[in-house]
Amino acid sequence: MMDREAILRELFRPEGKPAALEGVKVLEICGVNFGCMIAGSLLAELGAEVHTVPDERAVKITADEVYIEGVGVPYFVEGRGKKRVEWRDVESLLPQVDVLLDGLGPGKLAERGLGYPDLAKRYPQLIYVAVSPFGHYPTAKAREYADVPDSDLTGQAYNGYMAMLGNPSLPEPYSYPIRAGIWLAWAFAGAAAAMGALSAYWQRMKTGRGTFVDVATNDVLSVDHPYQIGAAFVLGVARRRSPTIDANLYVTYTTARAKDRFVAIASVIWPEIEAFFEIIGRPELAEKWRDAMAQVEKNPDAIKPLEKEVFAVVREIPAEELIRRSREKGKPPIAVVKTLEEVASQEHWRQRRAIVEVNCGKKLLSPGTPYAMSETPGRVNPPC
Amino acid sequence: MDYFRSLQSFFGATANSRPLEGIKVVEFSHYILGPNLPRLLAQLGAEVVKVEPPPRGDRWKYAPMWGGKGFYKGMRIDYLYLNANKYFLGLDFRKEEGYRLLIELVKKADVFVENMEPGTLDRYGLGYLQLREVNPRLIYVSASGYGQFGPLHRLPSYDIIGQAESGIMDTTGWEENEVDELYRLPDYPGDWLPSTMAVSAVLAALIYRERTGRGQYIDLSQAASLQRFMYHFVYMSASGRLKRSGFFDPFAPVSGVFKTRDGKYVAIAAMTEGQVKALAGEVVGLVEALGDRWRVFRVVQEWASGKTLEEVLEAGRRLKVPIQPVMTDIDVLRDPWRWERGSVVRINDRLYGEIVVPGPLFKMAGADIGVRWVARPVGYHNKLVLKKWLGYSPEEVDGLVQRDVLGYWDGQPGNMPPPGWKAEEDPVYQGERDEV
Repeated sequence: MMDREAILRELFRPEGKPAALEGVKVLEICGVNFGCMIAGSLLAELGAEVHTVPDERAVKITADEVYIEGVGVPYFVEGRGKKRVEWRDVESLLPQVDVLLDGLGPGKLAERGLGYPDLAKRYPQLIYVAVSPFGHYPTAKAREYADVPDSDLTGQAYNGYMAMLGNPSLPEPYSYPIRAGIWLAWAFAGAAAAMGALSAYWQRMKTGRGTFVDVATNDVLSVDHPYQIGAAFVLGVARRRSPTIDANLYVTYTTARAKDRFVAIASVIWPEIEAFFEIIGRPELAEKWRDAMAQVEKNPDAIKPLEKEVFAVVREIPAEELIRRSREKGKPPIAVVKTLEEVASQEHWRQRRAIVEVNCGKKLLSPGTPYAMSETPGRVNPPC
Repeated sequence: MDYFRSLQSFFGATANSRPLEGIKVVEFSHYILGPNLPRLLAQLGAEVVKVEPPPRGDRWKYAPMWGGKGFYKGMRIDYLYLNANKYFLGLDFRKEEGYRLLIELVKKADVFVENMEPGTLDRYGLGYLQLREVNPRLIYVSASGYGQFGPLHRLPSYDIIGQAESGIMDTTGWEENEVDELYRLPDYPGDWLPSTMAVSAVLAALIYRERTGRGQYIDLSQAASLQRFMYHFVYMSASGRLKRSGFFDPFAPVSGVFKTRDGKYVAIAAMTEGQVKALAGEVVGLVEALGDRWRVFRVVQEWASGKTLEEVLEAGRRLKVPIQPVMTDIDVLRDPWRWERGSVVRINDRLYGEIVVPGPLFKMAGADIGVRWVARPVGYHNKLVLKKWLGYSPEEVDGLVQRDVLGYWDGQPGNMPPPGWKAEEDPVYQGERDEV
């Protein structure tokens, strides 16, 4: 009898299967807004036919002048599987388009006679999805910033995310807030826009009517995450940035330097916290930690001496030994913090098509698709 | 006509409708990764039943956030948000009668979401392979760190493990020769982002099912979802290792976080040649510094340090260059734009009273999406759910409670109604009426 994994591996084989969104037509006019382009890409991975009006400025965006077949690295990924069309093709495409993705900013398509108020009259079934820094929804700020383009970095900043990342104790400027190493705000914006497009599509299947979906890069992360708003609401102050001890739980949910390399320690609930102190050979610290947590409200630095002591102990233990002990004990999960090279070499991600090898003049690695679906597997569209 | 004014009529005509009305979801999940997916489906109007073994259920509700200050009227604030718009069923599925009841609910469901360790629910007869036999139209989502198959699939995970295994931590922070530290990304994006992406997979599966009648299994991996945005793999194989980014966007010729004259942090990212050119008209030495991120940092810092935050923001608007403040939590909460847009909303929850909540992920013209009520303690909707889904009477529910098939909360912080609540005065608890 096959084991569960073997059955599932077979179940998820992508070969010869249809895509979920076959027949859905998307037109993206994103300018240099990659949040908008990510939405188009996610829909394409789910099987939609995506037409794009490319913006050469977006095509050129890259790091260190690295271009592949004439396109920058981000566009290499987010341009995958999309049919390039020209502005002059837009009018003829529109009657068949289900979803229009607009990343140009409020009013820009309207200047070309393609704003939602006009298109809704001509194509009442159209789903119009806008991605911009402050949204198209009429607000004072949306008007004020209507001509200012979007960026991921400013999205991470305005969402209150960067204020929680980095080590404020370092010398300047290393002490400044830093960014998540990926386009996190744009990833959230793209995921929200794809979700908006498909929920509107579902609604249209029931009603026959399209609608307008408006995503603001500058709020999407902080409405999905509940912490910026929730913490400020109940605490009445901003949280303190902490590079190690989790700024919400005040526990060792953290990266730490072991003897030979960095590890990630995932102790969240009390049994895991106790287990962590046991596996580092200092069970007596658990009670001290609990006492310190009780004092944090009045004295935010109460945990600091303990934190220092704990990290000094961890630094004496090899990473693999920590992992061995955590697996033996059954908690807390601990993992080596992998380098990109290590991740790229792991068979696991290749088997799942999360990282794929493509041949574009030379062999390259690329993100694949996260959509493992048994009937309609996500598509890894060729980038070249 | 002014563009914004012309849009007002579309957003002004808000109907009391939501796109996923009629979709039924059974949630069998805990912590963040699993519950956020149904939260977003519920935001869009799906009817979500969160099944928890009584009396404790989802253990995330007890985590003593912010030194114990994270509770609001007995419930943790982020838990209230994460589990908004859901119905709470306290059901012991390990009892034979409880299992049968759960199967009856699954027969009625469109979507099932779980995030136990891979294989756990199979042992209880609740895995995909078992449930598809009772409901072939079911869309079943398993969320985990590594996914349900592949050499690493058995390993346990939390957000931070997903971060470590995906490689995202190796993209974040400073180069080792600059700062010998490595950071987790705060606030658990390894949970929030993958679960948000997965909503599209569920919607696509619903659309596919509408055409074909076929349900399916969706296998969500935290790490694989994060890897989707790691262009570093392309760069690495084309040209070598891309440096960790610190506060720089590696894909922007000019970027970083800078300190203004009034001591505020501001983020600047000139993504295109045009934006760089515009900024160079104000920032002395910028053109000469291009190509060296620290040289660029120094000349822009020199410029920013001579201005207040407001002056730097004004320059951004004038030059059409993305420039925004690095906001703190309190800035986010107090931001007038968010209140005007509805990204921060004060609602009057029927049970917990006045509470400030995050708005929906997007605005949708004509639809009323967002938080209608916040989380409830374990089993709060036992009578309502079983009446609505299976036609049970209150007496039948009481019988199930007596047989320990159903149960209620334990009254610990994180799992209780607000102070002063009285069961006999609560018609929703009694199953007599719906939440809204």
